[in-house]
Amino acid sequence: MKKDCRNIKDMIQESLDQGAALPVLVEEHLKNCPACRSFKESLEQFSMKLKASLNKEIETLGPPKFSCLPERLSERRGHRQFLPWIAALICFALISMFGYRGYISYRTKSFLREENRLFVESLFTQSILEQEDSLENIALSTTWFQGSDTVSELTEDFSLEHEINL
Amino acid sequence: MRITETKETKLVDDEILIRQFVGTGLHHSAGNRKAFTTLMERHIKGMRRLLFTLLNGNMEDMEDAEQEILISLFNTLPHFRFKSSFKTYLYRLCRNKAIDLIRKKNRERKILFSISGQPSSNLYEPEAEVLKKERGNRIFKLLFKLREEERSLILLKDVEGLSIKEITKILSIPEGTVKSRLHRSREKLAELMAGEDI
Ligand SMILES: [Zn+2]
Repeated sequence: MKKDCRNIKDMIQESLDQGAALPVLVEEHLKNCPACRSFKESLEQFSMKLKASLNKEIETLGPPKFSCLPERLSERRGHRQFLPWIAALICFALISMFGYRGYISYRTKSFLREENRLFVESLFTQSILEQEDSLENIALSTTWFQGSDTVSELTEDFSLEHEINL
Repeated sequence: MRITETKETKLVDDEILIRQFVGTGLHHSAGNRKAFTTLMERHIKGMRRLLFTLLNGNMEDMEDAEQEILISLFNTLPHFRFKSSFKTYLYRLCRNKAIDLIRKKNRERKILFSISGQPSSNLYEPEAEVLKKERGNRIFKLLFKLREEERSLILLKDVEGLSIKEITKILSIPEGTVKSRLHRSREKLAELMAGEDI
């Protein structure tokens, strides 16, 4: 019987959930089971009485205070329409900033490069002038070794040979 | 002014009122404001019943919550996408505001107790005034013995007559869970009622 009552109580609640009429099986059970009958009645009574009591309580409250509402809809919405413009402005600012920085660094780099080149060139020229003698000696020794007249000839020969071998 | 929930007012759909309120730019015009007040007057009773149930009948807290809800709706309705009914949206908002308020009050109570050196109670006590009143006294005593979710379930289903699907959206829990918890809440209530004369 207790297991039956458990099922019946579930079925009563299922009917309440669906807003549907009680199944015949439940109606039959209720005729002979005071416990389930009282369960059903107390639920129905409770919701009815609760609604009536709640209504009585809230009746004492006045109309809603619409005066608390702002004059206009949220400023948030007002700003929203400007969001794409704000985003575009930020993008433009970023691009301009980084673009300018990039340009400046390029200018600085190229200026430094130019300066470096001149510096290295000057060093090189100086060292060439200083070491002209020793370079000549190297060229001569190579000539002697390869049996060619100049270093350039030697390289040309080498590349020719290389081409033939290929 | 008495607020009435008549069938005639229901003839104009909530959605139409919301669209009238939001309008096409002049949101603050008198006509649009009227649409908002009509919409709210239509739902105010249900909203107040839920707030009373969750806020233990504390009228002061109810008024605070109600104002916050009105302002919040006024500002958020323009972004309402009609994915759910307005009623569902409203009850969800009411419940969340009530829970926020209870948490805030409990925090304040804890701080107060820690300052005074007394043991802290984390309970949002039922409004004594409400329980003193003769009418509805026993009903509310019973109701306030239930947990917040149990109260919400019983109120939304058995008093407000919402569908299980709508409650699912309001409480953010699956349909099966809504059903099983609702059944358990009703059984708990029936047990409590057995010991009381209602
Ligand atoms: Zn039974």
